[in-house]
Amino acid sequence: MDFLQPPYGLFAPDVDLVVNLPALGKLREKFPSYIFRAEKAQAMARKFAINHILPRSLETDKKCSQDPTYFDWDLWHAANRAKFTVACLPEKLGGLGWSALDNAAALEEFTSACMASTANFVFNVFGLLGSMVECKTGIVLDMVKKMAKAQQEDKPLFYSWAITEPGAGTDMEDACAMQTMRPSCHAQRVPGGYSLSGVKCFITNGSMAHYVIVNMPTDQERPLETMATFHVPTNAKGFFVGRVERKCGQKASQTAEIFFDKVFVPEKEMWEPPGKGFDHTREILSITRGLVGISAMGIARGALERCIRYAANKKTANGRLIDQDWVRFAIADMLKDLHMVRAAGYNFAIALDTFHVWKIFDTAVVKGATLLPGKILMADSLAALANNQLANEAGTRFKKKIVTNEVLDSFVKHGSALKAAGSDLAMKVSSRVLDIVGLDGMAREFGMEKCFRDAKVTQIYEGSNQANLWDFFHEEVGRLV
Amino acid sequence: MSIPKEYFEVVRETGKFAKREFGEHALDWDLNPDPSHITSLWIKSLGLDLPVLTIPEEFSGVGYGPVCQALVVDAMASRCPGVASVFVHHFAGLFPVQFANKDQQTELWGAATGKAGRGIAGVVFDHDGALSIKPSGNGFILNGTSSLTANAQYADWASVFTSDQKGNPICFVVDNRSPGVSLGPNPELPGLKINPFHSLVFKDVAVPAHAILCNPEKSAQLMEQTRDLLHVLTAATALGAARTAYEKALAYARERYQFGKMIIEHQEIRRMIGAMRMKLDAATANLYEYFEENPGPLSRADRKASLVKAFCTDAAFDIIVDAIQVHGGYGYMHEQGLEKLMRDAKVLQVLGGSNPQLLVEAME
Ligand SMILES: Cc1cc2nc3c(=O)[nH]c(=O)nc-3n(C[C@H](O)[C@H](O)[C@H](O)COP(=O)(O)OP(=O)(O)OC[C@H]3O[C@@H](n4cnc5c(N)ncnc54)[C@H](O)[C@@H]3O)c2cc1C
Repeated sequence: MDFLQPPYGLFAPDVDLVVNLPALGKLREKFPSYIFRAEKAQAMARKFAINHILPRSLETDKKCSQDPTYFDWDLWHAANRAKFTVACLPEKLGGLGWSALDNAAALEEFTSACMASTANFVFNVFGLLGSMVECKTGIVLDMVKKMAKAQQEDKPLFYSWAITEPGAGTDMEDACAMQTMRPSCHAQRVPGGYSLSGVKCFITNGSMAHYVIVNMPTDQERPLETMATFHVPTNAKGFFVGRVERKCGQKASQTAEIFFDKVFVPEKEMWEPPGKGFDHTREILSITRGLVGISAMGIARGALERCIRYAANKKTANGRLIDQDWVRFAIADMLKDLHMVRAAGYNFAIALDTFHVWKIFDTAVVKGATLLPGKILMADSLAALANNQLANEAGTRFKKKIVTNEVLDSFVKHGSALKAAGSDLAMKVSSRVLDIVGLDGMAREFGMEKCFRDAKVTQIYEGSNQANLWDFFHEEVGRLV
Repeated sequence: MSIPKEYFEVVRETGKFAKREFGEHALDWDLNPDPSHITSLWIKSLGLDLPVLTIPEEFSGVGYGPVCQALVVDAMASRCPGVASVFVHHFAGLFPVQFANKDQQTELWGAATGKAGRGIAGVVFDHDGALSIKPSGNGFILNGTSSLTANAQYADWASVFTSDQKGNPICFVVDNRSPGVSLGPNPELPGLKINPFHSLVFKDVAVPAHAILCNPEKSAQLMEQTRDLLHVLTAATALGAARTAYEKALAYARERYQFGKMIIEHQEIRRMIGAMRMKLDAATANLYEYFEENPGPLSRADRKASLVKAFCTDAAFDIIVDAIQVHGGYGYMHEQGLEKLMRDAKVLQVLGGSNPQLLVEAME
């Protein structure tokens, strides 16, 4: 498809972070490097989206419709070489040192090209996020080292986060619901650890994962009180992958059933003890829901930009499609909503930097530590030192002081609202642009029908929008009434 | 409105036929849209007289009007909107023939009723003026590339509405098997996959004089009537798809346990399913009210048909999207069948003109 590109959005020559969010200008006065780095992340991501994601996303989508287990390794390697797989690690540790704002700016670019492809090199952050919940220094450092090493060797290292099971989706994401759930999974106490059995379904990268972070109760009669979190290598005996699902969209990102048949997990790989599993879920959701909202906003943006390009080039009996009044109103209406959700999205990202785990990087201890030469930081001796009980507990205490329960409540609240807003936007916009461009514009080559197929799931995963609204109500006013 | 008893009989039989012949295969056909599925289905459907439903009795058809056609495509669409769309465009393609002279009718109906050939018809509207004709002998030569057209892959012939070299409306029949007719590339639309849309490419196609169906004045009117028939049958297709989605959502909500009860017990799920029901009822009423106002073979051409199409397809789309939501993650999976309906409904929304465009045009 040859387009005269209006130099807009993904095809704008310059970064437009502050153009789109002028209020960032005030922040830039005080913290120039904070904004400058975000602009750099945006520029990097935009270049990658144009050069690597866009040219192949349609083809990959097609290959995956024929074979849901197809994986675009070339794209993954390109992303890995650009360090997007370890972007959130500090630069000293081999990452890009991205703040939450940098992440948001990059995510928007990536997902406006293709969200499913993005998931393949971004979603393994579930591993790091999962380990940061308890923030045991030994575990975190080990995780960081593994990630950095894999990146350097250009070897894939995938983490999946598995909570959903066939009989329980919403029930795994809400405390009240969990109390009444009928679990099919079970973690049985055995000498030296636990034996895990059951099925988890709809697990992103479940078929690719090297490690799975999984929640299971130790007593099926008391799921909330006994839900625990385990870190399981997928080469463990008794773990296997079921079918990879055939989905409506987001096909490049594999979604699989995974089976646990008496998988033994040693005590030390229990990341959360019985009763703490739900808190673990909630803490991850306090971050990921908002990021899904931002990604979904990216889908909407991608659909809209494709529509604008198409409409600017499409001739009709009364001039170009974009010259029709009704089209202009429709586009303006959607752009207006896009701007609103984007503002909320960046507000959320900056709040993550200000109050959530990203804040840890701003503390004197961590800043001091990252001043150490990278060699020392990555050395086994330091890892050994970090991995004793005292150091582990210190890590946990240190982090819980920053990320308090109040902080979590607030992020579940804002994140849930953003997730619902972003995904509703994605669905509404990606559907409406097809009404504008009509049958011709709906042709596969223009990419808009793919945006539409990709969008729907954002209203479902990371908790259905109903579950998100329920949480949002509870946190905003539910406690008061 | 009162619907003749014999129509219900046809609908019942069509329902059984749809369930038996493609209900189980619709998902597979969506993935592997091999044309032979439709061609063999078509021959079986002749056993029920479905393809000849609209053909006058004197030409060995059944002679049932648009209401019956709507009920039939609705019944088929509840199993597969893609299959229904083949019949929709066939019926629309046949429509102008009844206004032709006796000889032409005998020939064209014969093609549809005769056991030889498939006899599937199609229809081409040339709103963009992309087709051109120039006189040649008694007939003319046709050139150009049509807009995306359903049944392109199946139709032996199509009714074409365009303008002659003087700009006067003209309606004629083109034999798709004649030299110079070919298919444009498959745009791979997201839905109605078993009926892939293509443009028809005409390169110096000779159209004989007797293929011209009627005079310019009549052609203009016929075009509007045919387009309106297409609109209302598209609306009926959407209703069939929406009803299936509604029924699936209701059934699933009754059996899915979440948050301590069957999800149908949650007020928000009830509200959603209630809204589906409301939209389904309103859309159904909208369509059949149209038929009540326009009895017989679309006695008046009226922009209202485009409003009915817009309303019914939009309602169906909303219903289906919410049915997916009620199913949670399962709704997004191909095997559930709902995401296919969503893709199909999306195409219905833009088929024959996208809905917002139709609203604008209806008020011109
Ligand atoms: C592509 C994809 C990728 C996924 N990736 C992962 C992953 O990596 N890891 C993982 O663990 N899970 C994953 N999931 C699962 C996803 O998180 C669940 O699908 C989601 O939480 C919804 O659960 P469910 O599908 O079981 O729906 P259910 O919980 O059964 O919900 C069905 C319907 O009931 C509604 N509902 C439930 N309770 C209420 C209530 N009280 N009031 C009103 N409405 C209610 C829901 O909103 C929904 O509409 C993925 C799903 C998909 C589709």
